[in-house]
Amino acid sequence: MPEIFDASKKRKKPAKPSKSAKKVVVVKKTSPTKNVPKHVVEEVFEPGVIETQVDSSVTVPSQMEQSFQAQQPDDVTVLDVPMTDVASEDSSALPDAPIHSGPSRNVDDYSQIMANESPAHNPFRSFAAKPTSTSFDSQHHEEQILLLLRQHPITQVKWILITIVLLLLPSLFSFVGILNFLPLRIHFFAALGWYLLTFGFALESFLNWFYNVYILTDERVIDVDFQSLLFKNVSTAKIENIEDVSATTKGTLGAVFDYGDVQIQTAGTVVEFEFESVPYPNRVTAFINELIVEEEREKIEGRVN
Amino acid sequence: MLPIFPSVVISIDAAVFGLIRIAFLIGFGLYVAFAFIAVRQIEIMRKTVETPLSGVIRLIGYAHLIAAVIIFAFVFLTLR
Repeated sequence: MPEIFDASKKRKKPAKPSKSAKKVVVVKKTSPTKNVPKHVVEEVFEPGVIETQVDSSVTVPSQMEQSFQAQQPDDVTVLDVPMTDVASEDSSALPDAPIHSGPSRNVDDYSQIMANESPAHNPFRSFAAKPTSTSFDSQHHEEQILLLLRQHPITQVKWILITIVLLLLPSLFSFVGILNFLPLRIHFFAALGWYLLTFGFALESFLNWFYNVYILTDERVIDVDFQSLLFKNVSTAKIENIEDVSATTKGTLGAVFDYGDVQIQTAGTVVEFEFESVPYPNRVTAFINELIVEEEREKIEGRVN
Repeated sequence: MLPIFPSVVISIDAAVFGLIRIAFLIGFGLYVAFAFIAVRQIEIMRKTVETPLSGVIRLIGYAHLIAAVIIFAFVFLTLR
């Protein structure tokens, strides 16, 4: 039965249907247990009209159509869509990939926030929308990173200033002459050790900032925490489990540079997520809400992946 | 007042220098361990989140470790 409606066959411009007729879009859902390709059955035909739009040589007997509608298997959905828009258009305008065509839509289609953001190529960005060449270890095959967040760069000024001061300190000591009683080679090694320690401090601080990320995908929220060299914590929550999202902007710097905390409350006993000092907290909150709405829509439309 | 003999002064200097030498060796030795842990940590971080900068950060980590080992060896050979 499905072979008759094989959408992979070349389409032919349909015979002009009557305006009163209804278009029936038959979509076969992919079954996780069977290796059935998507869109095996995805075609448009008119009830009562023998000819289909798949191929003029392939005809659908009226009995077959009736039995098809009467005995739909569980994995087939039939949608009634008014024909008026299709009748006046070319066959290329037929709904090739509207709502039931894939597991998920492009983020730009349902998110106003993401539609205004271009893909981030700069790996240092703290608000990286649709980051390129970025992935994480537990990422699923079709899961897309939509937003990657780090702490706002202004919050990193503290360790940068400390590093600069540490770099200048040996020059200050030699200028004052506090350690002049020590031999010259001890001076040299002490300075070497000092600069090495300073570099180590700067490297560690940078790594802590760079790899402590908050990731929003089309399926999950991920919080990657490296609190020290020896402590790693990765928390995840499904979008559908998010119950409450709130944003907090604190202090003068937060207001001036537009950064703050985003709290995400999930269902059950899961610990609350907190995105600390991330840029544009209101934008992040709005985007998470858009993801929740999309997740609900996917459930309703049966596009849950 | 006790007389201070030159040999006593020399031995005190040697003791202080020896202590400084040991302190430097311990300090730089610990730093080599820190640099090694940092490399391991960078590997874990790279595996957790892959970014376009991962290769460069890995390189910095290894360069840091090599520099720490070279300086430790230099201190060990020089302060004898």
